[in-house]
Amino acid sequence: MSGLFANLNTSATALKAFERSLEIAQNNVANASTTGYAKQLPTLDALPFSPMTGLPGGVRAGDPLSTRDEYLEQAVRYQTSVLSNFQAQAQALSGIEPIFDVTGQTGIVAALNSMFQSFSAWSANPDSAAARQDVLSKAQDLGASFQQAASVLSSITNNVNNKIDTTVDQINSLAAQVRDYNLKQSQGTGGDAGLDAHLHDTLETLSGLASITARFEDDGSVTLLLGGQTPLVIGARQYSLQSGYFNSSTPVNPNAPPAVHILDANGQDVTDQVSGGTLGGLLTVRNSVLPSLQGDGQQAGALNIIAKQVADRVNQLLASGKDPAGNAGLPLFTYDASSAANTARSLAINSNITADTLAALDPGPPQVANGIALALAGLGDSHAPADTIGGKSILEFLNSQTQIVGQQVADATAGQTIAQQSVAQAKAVRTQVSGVSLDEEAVRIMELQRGYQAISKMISVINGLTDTLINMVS
Amino acid sequence: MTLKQRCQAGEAKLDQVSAALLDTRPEVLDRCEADLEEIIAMLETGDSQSVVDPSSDKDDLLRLRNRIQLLALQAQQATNLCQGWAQLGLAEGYTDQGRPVLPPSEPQASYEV
Repeated sequence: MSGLFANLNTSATALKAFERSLEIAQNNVANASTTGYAKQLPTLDALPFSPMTGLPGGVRAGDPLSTRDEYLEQAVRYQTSVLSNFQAQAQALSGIEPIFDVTGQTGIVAALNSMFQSFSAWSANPDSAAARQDVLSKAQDLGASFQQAASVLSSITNNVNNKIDTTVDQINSLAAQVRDYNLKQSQGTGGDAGLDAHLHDTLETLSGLASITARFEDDGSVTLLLGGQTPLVIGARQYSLQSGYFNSSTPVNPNAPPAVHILDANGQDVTDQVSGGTLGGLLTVRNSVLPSLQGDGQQAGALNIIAKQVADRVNQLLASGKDPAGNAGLPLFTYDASSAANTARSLAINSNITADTLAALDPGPPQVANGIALALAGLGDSHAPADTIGGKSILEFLNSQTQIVGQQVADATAGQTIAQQSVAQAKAVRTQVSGVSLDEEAVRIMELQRGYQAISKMISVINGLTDTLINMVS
Repeated sequence: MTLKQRCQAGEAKLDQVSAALLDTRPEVLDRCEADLEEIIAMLETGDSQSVVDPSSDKDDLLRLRNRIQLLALQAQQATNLCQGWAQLGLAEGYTDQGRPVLPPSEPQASYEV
């Protein structure tokens, strides 16, 4: 009888192996569209066979073999991080580009050109009241244009600040999910394909937000690092990030927007470690691109530099001239001189100046009736040392800034396109290895079922033959 | 070959088939079919004249039939599981515990174990 029980036991074990094998196929199908799921393959382990010692042999279902390839997962995460970085930059920069319109039809470029044209028309008719009025009108437009540009940059800054805060919150929230996963691992309730899928989906989302490193420990937990150094999750403990707005050193320009810093759980500045993902892209725009244009605690910013140079040189030239009444010229522009980073925002025309008090006459010697107006008309292209910014004329400097912004937008857009292809490629390879093919699974099961049915029929034939033989010997 | 020898050889083949059925690859199942065809041929080629010990031969045949019936159960279970899979293939999602969520209209009778 022991032989029969051994046989039954072997058969029961075999049935369980079947069950497990098909369960895995079923899980694969049920999760074909589950984000982050990696196909599992059934494995079978041979059981020890030794009739003498009562070991019945047979086969049992082994642990399912996940087709997840961590190298490919890491590749997808890296490319996702790069893509998100470019996307964040491209989106933020798209709001800046219109300020420096490369066509010269709108924005500061158009307003500045219009003002120089009005100076030119005035120089042709220095006594023309209409020409003088047009100069005031165009100067006012230029001031408004600078103010609007500063306002747009300020608005973009606030928008980017909000996005940075939101992104940091999202990172902390997702890191909490990784911590929960680790807790389940430590409690022995992990190791499930569904949880594994959720974890990898979380890691992929996280990599879109920041450059993260996920290290899989021997105990099944995941150590999550920001930039490969700053811990976000170790075991069952989470280390939250936070954003801070402050100047690293005493600001030269009061009231300028302070830089954004990312702080770890101990309050240490870890901004430098955030190089990828949405957060990395936002920080690049917020701490590098925007300050180069609108200024910060240490630098004036290109927009303010242009505004100041235009205002100062126009005012100096007018002050050196005389109005039709023989009075010294009045300055055309005013601005807040207390902060170099506030020039564009405060640029306006002098409330005391009128069309009649515009000083076109250069007292010389020799005296030239339209000398000042002529100098103003040529100011934009002048390479006289006093008129230039870093060796460039005002219009050249403005054009260079337009090109820089345009190049930044083009780089971010091109990077975005390339990164999209790289992500698609990395995901395609991963799908090839880890993805579930419904067709593949369905064909596999149908083939199996047909095979089992054919075998069942043959077993029936053998059974019938055996019965016949038993009857014959009885 | 005596009936006893054919029964023993048939039993050995059935053991091989039983183990091979666990490998869920179609080509392995094809090999199982070939093995079963061999057993059929082996049982068919014998005749009653070769029976030398009716009592002993009957015991061998009964043991062989028990083995065949166990294998029949194994194959039937595998077929049922495939059908169960087909039902569960329509699962709607996945629980936090990693179990498939069956649609409410799932048929009452299921072959899934």
